[in-house]
Amino acid sequence: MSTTSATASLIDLAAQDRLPLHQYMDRATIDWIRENRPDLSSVPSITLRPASKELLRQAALPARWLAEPHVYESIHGVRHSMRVTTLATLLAEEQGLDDEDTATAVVAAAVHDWQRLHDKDDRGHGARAALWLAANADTVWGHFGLTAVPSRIVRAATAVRLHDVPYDAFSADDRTDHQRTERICDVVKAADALDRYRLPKLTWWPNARHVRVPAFERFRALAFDLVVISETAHLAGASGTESVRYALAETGLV
Amino acid sequence: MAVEIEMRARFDKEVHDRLVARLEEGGEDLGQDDKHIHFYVLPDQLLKVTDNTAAGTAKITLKGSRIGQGAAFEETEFAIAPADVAAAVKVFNALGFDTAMHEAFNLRHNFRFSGVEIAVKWSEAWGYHAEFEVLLDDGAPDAARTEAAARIADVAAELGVALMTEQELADFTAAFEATEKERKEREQQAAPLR
Repeated sequence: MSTTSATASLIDLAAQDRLPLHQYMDRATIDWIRENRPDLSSVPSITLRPASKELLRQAALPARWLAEPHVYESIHGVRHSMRVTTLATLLAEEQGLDDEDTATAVVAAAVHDWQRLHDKDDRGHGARAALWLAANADTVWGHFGLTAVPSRIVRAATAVRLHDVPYDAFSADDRTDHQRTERICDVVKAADALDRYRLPKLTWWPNARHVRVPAFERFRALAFDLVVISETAHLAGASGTESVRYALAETGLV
Repeated sequence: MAVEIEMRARFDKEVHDRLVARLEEGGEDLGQDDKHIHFYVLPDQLLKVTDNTAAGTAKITLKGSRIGQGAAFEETEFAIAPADVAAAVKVFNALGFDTAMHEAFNLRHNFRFSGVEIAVKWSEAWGYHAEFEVLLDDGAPDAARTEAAARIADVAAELGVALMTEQELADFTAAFEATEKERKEREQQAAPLR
């Protein structure tokens, strides 16, 4: 099993096009991310709806649901999942989604990478996660204290399936599915894109051209801070869930 | 055996930020002191295996009373190698303490202010909180203990922080233990996946 070398940082490996299958944050990379903070507007003051706060309390999914245990602490693991879930909640509220659709976006955001096998270009992981979500809907919605109903399962699974398909690569069927659940799909894709500040190349960082949610720009600074605070806490020894919950506290979200 | 006079406070981020600014301005900065702690809540005692991740040291501590059972803690402590933390936890669990074990990471920064050591911390269970501590010699008389408690109360008041009462501490730790018990039971009963 290929994992990040103990001596090479992700930024070095990315520069040499030698990133391994499983990629773990390191001090040199988080320092590099911090030093490359873009000129972002200040973090907006945000008050989440009570129902959204309750969902965020359940945002950490059990590790045993993963398709591949090595992913749990990797750059697509629990910290990424929790940050994307947080950003999806914020974008959903900002876009005017009601509690039900916000919850559907939250479920989709939480599980979107949970069936990944590795951190490279794992083609089809969205489709795998969508099938897994549909098969385990009662368990997953129950984890969030919600009831799985067919219409919500279809919407969440569609958002999960399409999260790793670029808009310009949509097939005719993808476009039809997207039209049925457009706002939730767009929120999940935008939230996932906002968390790209964790990646070890500037050209891989969030790019508004790949998303369709106007509120994307508003949350760039917060997305950056969530990455830096949580990844720094994790490298100090906090678990994945502890580090993101600390970042939520530091940014005033909970 | 040393005696710790220890009091605690929980607060929100606004109070946390104000407290840290005040300590940075008027206190002595003792540095970052993050810890990964395995703690065993035993009847009338608290056993801890602490990995001082920021300092690169580790220790085992037995406190003679639990949080919420008074401010004075008789404390026995000895250093172990950080590499031995996992083995120590394994030994205590094998001795039957596993059901009483909890695990937590504390992001922590230490200060000294007017003779009181203040650890400003965040943990998942406690949120933002601080520990105010005065360490006394073994066998310190009651008057010294009372004086230490009064000094901590004065410092907390000066810093604008409300200390938790013994009842609040007992209630908080009881609620934490109940939540943890419920969480562990829920995990064991989790529905199978397809």
